[in-house]
Amino acid sequence: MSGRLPAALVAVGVLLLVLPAMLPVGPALHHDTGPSTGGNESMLEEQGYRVIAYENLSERGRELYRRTLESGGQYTVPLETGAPAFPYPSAADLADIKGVEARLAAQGVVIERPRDADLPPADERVYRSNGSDSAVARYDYMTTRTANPPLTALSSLLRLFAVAGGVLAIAAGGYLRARP
Amino acid sequence: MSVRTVALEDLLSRRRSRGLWVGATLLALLFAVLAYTYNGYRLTPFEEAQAVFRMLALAVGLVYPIAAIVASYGAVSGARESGGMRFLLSLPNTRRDVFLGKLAGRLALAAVAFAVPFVAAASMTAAIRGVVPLGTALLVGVLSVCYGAVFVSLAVSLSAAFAEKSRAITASIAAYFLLVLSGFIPFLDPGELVRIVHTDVLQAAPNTALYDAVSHLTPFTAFRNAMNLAFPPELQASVFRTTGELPAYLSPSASLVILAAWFVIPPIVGYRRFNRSDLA
Repeated sequence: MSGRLPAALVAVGVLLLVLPAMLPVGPALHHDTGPSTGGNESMLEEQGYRVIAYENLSERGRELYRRTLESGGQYTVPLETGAPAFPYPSAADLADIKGVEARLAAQGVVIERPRDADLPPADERVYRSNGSDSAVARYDYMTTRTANPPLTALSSLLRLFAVAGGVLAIAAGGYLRARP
Repeated sequence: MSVRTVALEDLLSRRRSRGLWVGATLLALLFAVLAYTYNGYRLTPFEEAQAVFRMLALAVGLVYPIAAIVASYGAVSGARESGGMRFLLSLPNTRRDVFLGKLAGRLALAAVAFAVPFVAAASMTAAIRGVVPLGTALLVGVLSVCYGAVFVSLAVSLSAAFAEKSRAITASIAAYFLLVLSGFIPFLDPGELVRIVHTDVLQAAPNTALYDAVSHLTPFTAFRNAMNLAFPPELQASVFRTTGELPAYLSPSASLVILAAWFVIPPIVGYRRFNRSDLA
């Protein structure tokens, strides 16, 4: 076995092992309409939620809300490209806030949807007194926070595969070098 | 030849083992996946990175002894079985040179085999969380290598004490059960056994400090306790039944002394048996 291939494999392996640490995945702004709340505007405001009418959102805020609904309830954008009306706390910001309601209120907004809007339907479920679901919810809670991308995101998976590839390359190169 | 030459020769011959490379690779992939998937609750990236190393320390506590034993159990008995021992001793080597050389070679091997998994885990942590708690990582790495050295020392000593590899591996596996898994299986925990004898058989008043002191004597418990040196108080593990201020003999520093004793005493016993044994 030529000495070049094992040495090259080890060198590539070390590079693949170290590179992800040099290029970490950065935090991003996450929007999620999945979590639910119940009640009307006054009840929600009493609980500490910030209620914003859709019409009062900035152009960017409306776009982000619409895209989140169109993307199945979750939408992520790079830092500095969020909407000014949305809070984007990090896990560290939320760590000191006690109570579930207070935490929910701090990491999102409730959007008051206009009647008869051409928006995708909200994923909130509102129960009528007779037990049936109403088709459209008026108040839609959306969490907005700063966090790393999920582990299933391409940027995260690429780094996992790089490290795994680095380990395999070092092992293959090391074994080939050691063979008599 | 000398201790150094025996160690180098042993290291060079062992690095050709395919099983060793496969084992180290699987360990590295396991560590990388653990570091990738760990998800802390309400933690900052730095705290989460620290928690990753705490979880890795637990994985090291369970898995690293297996790797160390597999890499070391045939160090001396294998050479005796294959006839290589005659060659080693026909040169101007004493049994002491051979024993210490084999021990040094396997210690170096275990340390190198641990380095890649550890770097893979650290790299994965930095890639996903953007930060590596350097102090914590270094201490976890150093303590892990010391812990692995304890089991290399034990396995090489058992290998020297027994003439056949089969008896050496049986003794090493038994040692793993008694010294590592006893921390997980209550009826194997020495402290728990002492408690049963003390309270149930002898009908004495419970003495938690005594049970903790006995449990502390296993390398696994000592390693877990020593690991608390690497973490801030909120991430430290509760290792003992005793709560509040721990007495000096249960402190993490005392755990280092226990690990040192496990590293030193088995080779003395193993070498004495090897030195007295008939190699013909």
